Amino acid sequence: MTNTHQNDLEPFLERWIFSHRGLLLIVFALVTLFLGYQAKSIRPDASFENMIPLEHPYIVKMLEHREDLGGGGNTIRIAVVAKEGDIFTPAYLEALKKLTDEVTFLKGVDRTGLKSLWTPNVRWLEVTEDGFVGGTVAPQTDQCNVSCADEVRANVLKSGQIGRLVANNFGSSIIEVPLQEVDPVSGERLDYPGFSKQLEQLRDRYQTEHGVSLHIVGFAKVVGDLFEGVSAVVVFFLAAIVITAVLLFFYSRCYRCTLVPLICSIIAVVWLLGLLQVLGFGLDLYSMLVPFLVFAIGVSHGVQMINNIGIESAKGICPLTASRHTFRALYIPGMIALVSDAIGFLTLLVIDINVIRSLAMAASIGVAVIILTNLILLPVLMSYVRVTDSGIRAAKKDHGGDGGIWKLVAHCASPVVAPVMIVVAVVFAGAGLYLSQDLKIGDLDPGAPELKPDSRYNLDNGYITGNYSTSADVFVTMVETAPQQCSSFETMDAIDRYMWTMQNVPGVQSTLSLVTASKQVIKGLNEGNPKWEALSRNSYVLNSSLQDATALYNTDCSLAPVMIYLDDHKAETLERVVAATEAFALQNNTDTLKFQMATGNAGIESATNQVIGSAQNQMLVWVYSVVALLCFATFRSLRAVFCIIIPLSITSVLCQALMAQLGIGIKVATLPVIALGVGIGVDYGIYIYSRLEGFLKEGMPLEQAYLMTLRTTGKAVVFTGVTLGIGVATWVLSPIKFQADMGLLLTFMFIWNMVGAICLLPALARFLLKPGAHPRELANPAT
Amino acid sequence: MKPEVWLPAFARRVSALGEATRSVKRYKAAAVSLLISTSLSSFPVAQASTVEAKLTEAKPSSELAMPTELASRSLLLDIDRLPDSERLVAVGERGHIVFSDDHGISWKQATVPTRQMLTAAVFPTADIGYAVGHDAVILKTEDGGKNWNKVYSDLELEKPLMDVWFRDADYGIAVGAYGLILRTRDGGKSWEDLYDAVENEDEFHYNAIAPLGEGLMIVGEAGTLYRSRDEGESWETLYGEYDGSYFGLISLPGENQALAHGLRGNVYRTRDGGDNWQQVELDTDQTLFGAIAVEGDVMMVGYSGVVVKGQGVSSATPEYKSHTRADRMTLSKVTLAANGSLVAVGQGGVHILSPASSTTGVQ
Repeated sequence: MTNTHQNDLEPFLERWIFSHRGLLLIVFALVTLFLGYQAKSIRPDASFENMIPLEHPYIVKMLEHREDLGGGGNTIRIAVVAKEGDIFTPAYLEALKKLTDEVTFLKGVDRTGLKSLWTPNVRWLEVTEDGFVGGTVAPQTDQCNVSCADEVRANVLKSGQIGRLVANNFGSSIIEVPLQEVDPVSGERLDYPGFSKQLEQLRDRYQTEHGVSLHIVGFAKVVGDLFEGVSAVVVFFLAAIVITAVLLFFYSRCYRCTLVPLICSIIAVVWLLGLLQVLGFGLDLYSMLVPFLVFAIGVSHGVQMINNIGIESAKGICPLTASRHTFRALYIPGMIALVSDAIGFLTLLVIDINVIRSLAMAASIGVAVIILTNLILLPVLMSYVRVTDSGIRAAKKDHGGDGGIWKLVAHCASPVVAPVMIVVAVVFAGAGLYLSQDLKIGDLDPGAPELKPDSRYNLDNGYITGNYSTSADVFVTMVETAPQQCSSFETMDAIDRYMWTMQNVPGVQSTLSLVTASKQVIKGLNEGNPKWEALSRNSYVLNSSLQDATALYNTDCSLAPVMIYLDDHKAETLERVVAATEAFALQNNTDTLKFQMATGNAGIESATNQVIGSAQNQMLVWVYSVVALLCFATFRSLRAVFCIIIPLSITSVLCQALMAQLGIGIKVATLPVIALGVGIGVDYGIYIYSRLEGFLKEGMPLEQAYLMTLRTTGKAVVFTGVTLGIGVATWVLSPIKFQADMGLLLTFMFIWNMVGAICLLPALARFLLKPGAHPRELANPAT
Repeated sequence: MKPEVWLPAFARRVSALGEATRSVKRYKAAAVSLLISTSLSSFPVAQASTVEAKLTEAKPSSELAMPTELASRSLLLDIDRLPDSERLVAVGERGHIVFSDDHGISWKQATVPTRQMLTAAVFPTADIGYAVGHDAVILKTEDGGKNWNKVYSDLELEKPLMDVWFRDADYGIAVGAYGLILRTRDGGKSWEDLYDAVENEDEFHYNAIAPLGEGLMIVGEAGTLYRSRDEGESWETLYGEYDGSYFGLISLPGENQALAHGLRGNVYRTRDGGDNWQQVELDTDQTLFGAIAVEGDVMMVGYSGVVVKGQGVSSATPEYKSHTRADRMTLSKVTLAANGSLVAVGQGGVHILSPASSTTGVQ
């Protein structure tokens, strides 16, 4: 061992810390109390704006026109399904009527805009010799009997609502519920989770009492379901703590060595949450992962400490000395590992999406906190408690024994096995590159990408898109004109041609704009004759045709949105729409008429995809440069950098291959994974390499030096990989799709980075660190 | 409750003629919200923009209809089979003209020098054909519908042409909205206005022009019926039993027999060249836009995918039966392909109504 016992060699930091242990403990306790109090008031935040790239030109345009585009999109749609037969039965219609009434009086509902077969704003219309004749679809009766049901059937057929409010197969009908984000009277914001819960209660009640089943979709429901999913996160966190505790105990065989790192790591999480609250960051659905990460990173560094303290204690020295030795041995590699984690995370700041930035900030803060809690507090605490006898026995057995498994693993550094490992690595890298060719950008599943494909919401969404002529994926192009010109023939004609151009783009289902409305009205005014379904050159006719279509242009008639309904929101579909729009805009945009992208869920998604597509490589370059630079700064050797970085990069490639094969796209949630994985994965390499270098400096041959490395730190590294994996693996169970994706990929990254560090690093060292070169190379090390 | 019959929110006759209102015998209201997508919540009502009554300049007339994959699935309004040919030609919105040489299975798009809606086409010979449409545009083909030239258009008129009839390659009449009627005697080189030849003070729309027996008939808006016995030189007003609009007229086997079809399932029949009309009772009240007579049977198509089949219509006991197609797409016209299948056009483009295996009759 390299420990020296002369006091003058003890760094100042160590001396100071261990001579002020009491003071430190009091300070830590006070800070924990304060930050714990702060952390209590932290609330999950599902702000929509944070998830989109606010500086992207599409989003800038969208926000510029937000007032004019209105909140038209925030609507809940409830499909009420008749369990038997069609909807034209008295029982069904009575249930629908009752539900319509109940929904009308939910808080947050815009009652005037609510639509169902029973609301007076749903009318039928007929062209007659005397003009239009119309009436409400719902008969004016108190009790709906058979003749009333027949009347509803007749009216529905004349209402044009088939495919909209009534399913194409007449098996269900929809209640359309526009919501008010802010109550106009009280100014209160809509309580999404509460609203969603009320809908769930209605769903259960109508299912059992009224013989109808409900399918509910809409942004508010997505948000509600996300919040519902968030509550599960607490359970995952507890599960992660319990599993980690059990593993720690099996590892150390010492309850003290189990509790201390756990407590220190939990303190780190408390500090993190408190700091986030104090600094005003808050937690969103993405940064919610960070406490898990911080806990896992904390434990993994704690394990390194405990491991070393156990080994020291096994020598029979007192806890204080054991802690001091451990601190001395580990605070530099620990600090470097943590700083490289933090800097790795900070590279995520290059991405112009708030949730990723706050994730990066939160993770960096968390890692900084770990430096205090697990590199300082932990050894200080351990200096008060003695490792239990069973713990010492375990450490002795491990360290003193011949470590059969480690001998086997140490062969990775042998001249025979090393080339094999290299070949295996090359094969893996090649296979990874090949399999990652299909890697896509963006969300690939239909419905709400935030939720799992088999979630209740997405099943509901599937039912509605399957039975109604509507699509959930809308790309909106904003057409800007001079004031009062949105209804001019030139504008309308250009929009008309744009719409037809887009309808010919594969993946586009239909389009809608003020042109659609105008043509329908002009046709309607001419007895429904399709030969009139065209724009008029007459400005009076055009203006008049738009009188009732005010939702399709803004108040001064300078903006008209064009809704483009898509088959899906896959990246290729969006790219085709964007390319076609760009080409059209290039030919048709003038000073007073501009086709501007984009809003609608698909428009926002294409902006996000573009940002992610360009940030992806940028981020990889950054994170690898930073990590490589840190490794170089630490070890002053390019060879060391290669030994550490190559295993990491192979894991990154494999992770991309895994994403491609599992159909997980690169998106807001998965983009940070590689940065996090690399940032944390580098720890293993740093710990192993620093030990290995130490033993090599003592003049040991590589294979023996590596065996010694494994015996001292190998177990801790394996354990670290496993703890980190477990910390995030519980996320796979999250009902929130992107959390599950993140959990899965991070688990993969953590475990494989560990395997790479243990098996590939020594093999690379065999070739990169020439045995003969060691004495000379190591003659002037930095330390 | 709103009144069941809405009063005019919009006076249709406010047209390029500059007249503010005009007494029309019925009113039409813009009940837009029921016609267009209902998924949008409405804003506070915007002021309709003030626009001077200036005529809008048209896009360069050289603009060709955009060639697209989906042209045969866009809104098509008329379909015809070329005489002595298997070719079908259909015309519709955006200057779309498509033709098929396999009885309507596959379609190619013709080169057409307009992007305006075309409403009707006619082929006096297998090579020569005419198509008419909005902007009073008249197109001519001399190669069986593959390439078209513009022979007439009048943007400032702001009146669409609705139908066209040709006696032979050179002599024909096009009719349209607001009493528009034009005649050529020289294969489209020159067109003369027959406005004054028809008594139509209210400028009702002429929806169709078709031969009936020895004469020629125009049917149109508000029950208008006109007959010419001198190929359009002079027109006499006929008085039918119906005040609503007719959208078409088909001759039936037998001298001077015809059906006029129109609004809300109203079909009237004459056996004496148009002097007397009797209503045909149907089991539908959907508007019928197009029809075809095949021997003693007829098929009429119309609003919301309604298809009416009539059997033995010249007999004493004709039978009419209607059904609604599942897709509920409005159909504008139907024709008989050379292989005996019935091919209709309308919303969603071409629809083959009956398979090729059926005989030439309408079953």
